[in-house]
Amino acid sequence: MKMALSLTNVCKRFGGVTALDGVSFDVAHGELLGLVGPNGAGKSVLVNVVSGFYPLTTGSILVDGRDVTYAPPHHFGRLGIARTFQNIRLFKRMSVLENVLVAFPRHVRSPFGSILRWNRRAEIDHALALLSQMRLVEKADQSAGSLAYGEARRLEIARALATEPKLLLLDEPAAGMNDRETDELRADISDLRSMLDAIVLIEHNVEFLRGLSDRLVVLDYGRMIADGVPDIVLKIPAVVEAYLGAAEDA
Amino acid sequence: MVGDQIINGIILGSMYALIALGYTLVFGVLDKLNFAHSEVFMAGGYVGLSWIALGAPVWLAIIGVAAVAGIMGLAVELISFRKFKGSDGQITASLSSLAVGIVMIDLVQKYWGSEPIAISLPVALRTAGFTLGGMTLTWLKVGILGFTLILMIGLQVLVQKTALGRNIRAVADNPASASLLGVDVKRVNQQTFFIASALAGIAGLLLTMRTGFASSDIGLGFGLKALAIMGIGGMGDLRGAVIGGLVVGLCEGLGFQFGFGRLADIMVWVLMIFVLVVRPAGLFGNATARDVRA
Repeated sequence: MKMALSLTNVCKRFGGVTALDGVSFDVAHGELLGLVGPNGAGKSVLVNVVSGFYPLTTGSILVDGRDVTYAPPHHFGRLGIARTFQNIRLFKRMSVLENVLVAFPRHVRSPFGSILRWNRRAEIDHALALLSQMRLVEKADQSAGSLAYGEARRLEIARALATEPKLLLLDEPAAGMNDRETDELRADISDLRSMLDAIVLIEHNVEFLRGLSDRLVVLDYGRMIADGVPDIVLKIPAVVEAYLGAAEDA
Repeated sequence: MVGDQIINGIILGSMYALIALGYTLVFGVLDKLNFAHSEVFMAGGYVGLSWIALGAPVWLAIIGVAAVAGIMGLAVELISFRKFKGSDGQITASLSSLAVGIVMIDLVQKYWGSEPIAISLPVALRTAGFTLGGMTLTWLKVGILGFTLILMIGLQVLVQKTALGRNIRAVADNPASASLLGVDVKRVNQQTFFIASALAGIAGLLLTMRTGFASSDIGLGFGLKALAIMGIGGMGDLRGAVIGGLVVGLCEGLGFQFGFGRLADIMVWVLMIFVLVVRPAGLFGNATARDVRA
């Protein structure tokens, strides 16, 4: 059976530092996978590798059965992978609406064809629908740089959705949010599941994932130390030690 | 007459602005200075007079120059800028483009000689005109002014309203995000170079039509002034390039009128020093946006 995402023995080295060491796991269609681990475990590196941001050292990545291991970054959008960043990267000097419009899949191939494509009504309507889903429609004409932190996060998600992805990678979307914003974001992400084939959610905070994710993969020092249902994974001694050990020491 | 010098200043300023817009576009997407740009402008004059010599009407010569200059821009992008991604090799790439520009000067001089070449336009085009409120306007001046205005408005519409312009702004804002959202950054860079160079080439032809000659040594002077104008207007800001260009052109025209003579040439530098002391980010520059991008 084809998996939404399939990693086989993925390794990433930066010089002498091994950031990912033989990570293998699959994400099934319809699944929301939580990727957890302490700081420096390699979670963000994994997202950067899967989204084509870093070339991987060895191993392979399949998306919906297609090998994307060596695809250049701007192809990943077309391959149905979208991501958000841990540190928000919006186009701050463009309007909220334009941020979404940029992300629509390009069907035009000729170098100057895109000159002739004005802001078509249908595209704008679609963008507004995505903005309203992320509760940003009132802010459509503001500059993205003026958004509050939580809004900027939601715009990043709306923009990622505009690429019409099958697989969405969310890198610590709740980072820096207060409790109320975090709860709203959980509800938003839960609503997204019907639109997407699969979601990989990177999170430092395990409580955020409990009840939201179907499965957890735990990384520690670039190695995968657990893979399974949240309630079981979080009781595995190695996970407790890697994850909670630090907290208890503190 | 003061009125005449104002018109002359505005025409000169709009040439500066066209060149500065090209520097600004490229600087916006790549954060790099393209020093070959001013030589594409210079070559535009020669390419233009060649089209005219072949019997092309002016409108066709303009299109021809835009196409040839645009292709020169694509070559510069390929030779000097393609291999440096992000902010890598900012200085190396710019030096490489400087070398390309110098080679272009030599090639032009090899082919056309180092003396200025006259453009064969009907004399009537340069003398016929009318007077308006004490100003003598030739049809040529009116045409150049109107056409540069159309080009500037066209560029503004292109950048603000089309999908291509949105991509250019997205790459200028954050190339990594744009790439991940499916924007082909390499292609956007090529498109930007094409547009910037086509504008410079057209400016070169317009200047040649205005003065009657194409010469191979104008690139450096105009190019440096256009760079200064970019500094005055704010790095990477298109409005800044237009307004800065017009202000400098006007200052030079009026400086000439009021007897500064050759000193009018240093107006731009004095203006730049003054503006940068008061507003380091330039007239339209936004220091915080620049910091975010850096």
